[in-house]
Amino acid sequence: MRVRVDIRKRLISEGREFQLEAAFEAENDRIVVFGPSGSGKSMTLQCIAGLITPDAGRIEIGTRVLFDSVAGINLPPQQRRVGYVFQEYALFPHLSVEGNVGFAMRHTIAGRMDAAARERVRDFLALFALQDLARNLPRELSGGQRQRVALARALIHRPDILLLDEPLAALDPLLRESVRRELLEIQARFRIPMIIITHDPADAEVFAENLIVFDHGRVTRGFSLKDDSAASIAASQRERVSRALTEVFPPS
Amino acid sequence: MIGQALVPLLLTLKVAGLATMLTLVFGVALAYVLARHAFWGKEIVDAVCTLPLVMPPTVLGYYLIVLIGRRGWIGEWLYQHLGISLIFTWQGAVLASAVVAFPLVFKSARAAFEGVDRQLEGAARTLGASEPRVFFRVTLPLAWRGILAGVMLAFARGMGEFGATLMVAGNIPGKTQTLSLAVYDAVEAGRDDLANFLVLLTSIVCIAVLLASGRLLRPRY
Repeated sequence: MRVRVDIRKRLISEGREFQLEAAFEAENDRIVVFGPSGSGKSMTLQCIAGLITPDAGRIEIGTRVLFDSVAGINLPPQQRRVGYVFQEYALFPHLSVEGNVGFAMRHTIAGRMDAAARERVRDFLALFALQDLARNLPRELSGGQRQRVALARALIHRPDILLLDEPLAALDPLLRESVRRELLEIQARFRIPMIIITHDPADAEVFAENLIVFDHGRVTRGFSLKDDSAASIAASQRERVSRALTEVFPPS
Repeated sequence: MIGQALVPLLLTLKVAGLATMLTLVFGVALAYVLARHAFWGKEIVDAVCTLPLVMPPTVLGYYLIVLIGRRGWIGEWLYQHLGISLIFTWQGAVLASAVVAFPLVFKSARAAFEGVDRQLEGAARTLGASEPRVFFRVTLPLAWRGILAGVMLAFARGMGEFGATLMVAGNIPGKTQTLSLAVYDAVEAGRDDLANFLVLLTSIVCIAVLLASGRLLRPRY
């Protein structure tokens, strides 16, 4: 799916000015947005989800235009069909695992789900190995379990794209390797495009088909790591990522 | 003696209860607007709403008379069009108690709403939740305990209201005489036994309310 982002946003907070100018285009399903913290990666993701409104620009996912300042289009987050996994997961602390995962399902005024919705929640709990934790509150879960709840919650309403804000940062380093593999499996199973924010080159090595590099609120470079030229096939993914990153951040 | 205490007690519970409900509805609505929206003069609105906390109740009572007295700005209209006069009625006492207790609900509700992580509301929106659903399923449940603690305080404050109530509703036994006014009368009349009983009764109710609000304020998540 094609993702096109071209946005500008000026932010002044506590007397400091931040200027975001993000423009990139990606054709592949695994897009990694890489950059140091404070470079505007999260803000870009929130603009895509509709939680922040850019000053100007255009956001396009597949054939759908989510935002276009010239045409006056600005879909509310509810209509963007975007799954968002927040950095600290932002699970609802007062709702059980089941309540969190089922949040996007249609509820009656009394707060009940119909049989089909309950069935789908059950399937998702099983799929993410959460069935035994259905009644637990988020604070009773481990980091890895919380992340699975966040993923299940975001995927259950069939979004067009999944946005992951530093999905591994809140995890134990020992867990990261296995969670990376899980994310790849989920991506393949749901065939859903993902944009993953990270500042860890290891994440880029595993995920990136498109690598977008941010610095100081700007996209400095975009790389497609899936091209078929003989040179890049010969090179391993690891070499390609490190070559791309040293191009943008040359060793001093 | 119990009969003499029962009438003011029931009246007090009625007045404080209704006043608390009024402050709950308006205090929470206004607190939410102030916690979630930026507009010019926001802190002025906050200051005006907090004013009853620091102003002498008699001054508030006077303001209320100016507003809802028969020749007051609102009172005149009410009397001419609806035939309603609030002065020297228990409904007037409700209004006086509500105004005095308003800042307690408003302040704690604003703090409670501001304590709710905006990211949780954002998460709910990306999951397709309409704005009312975001409010009733996420924001309000997470702010609820803070609001309830404020409501308890408002109720206790309403129970003890004296100055503004006296100005607006007077001190008519069986009609507008609440516990605190009855205590004053009993002491003035030298009826120490009745005064003791009323004071004990008021103290017990207020301590119960404060204990309950203390429990509610303990963090849970």
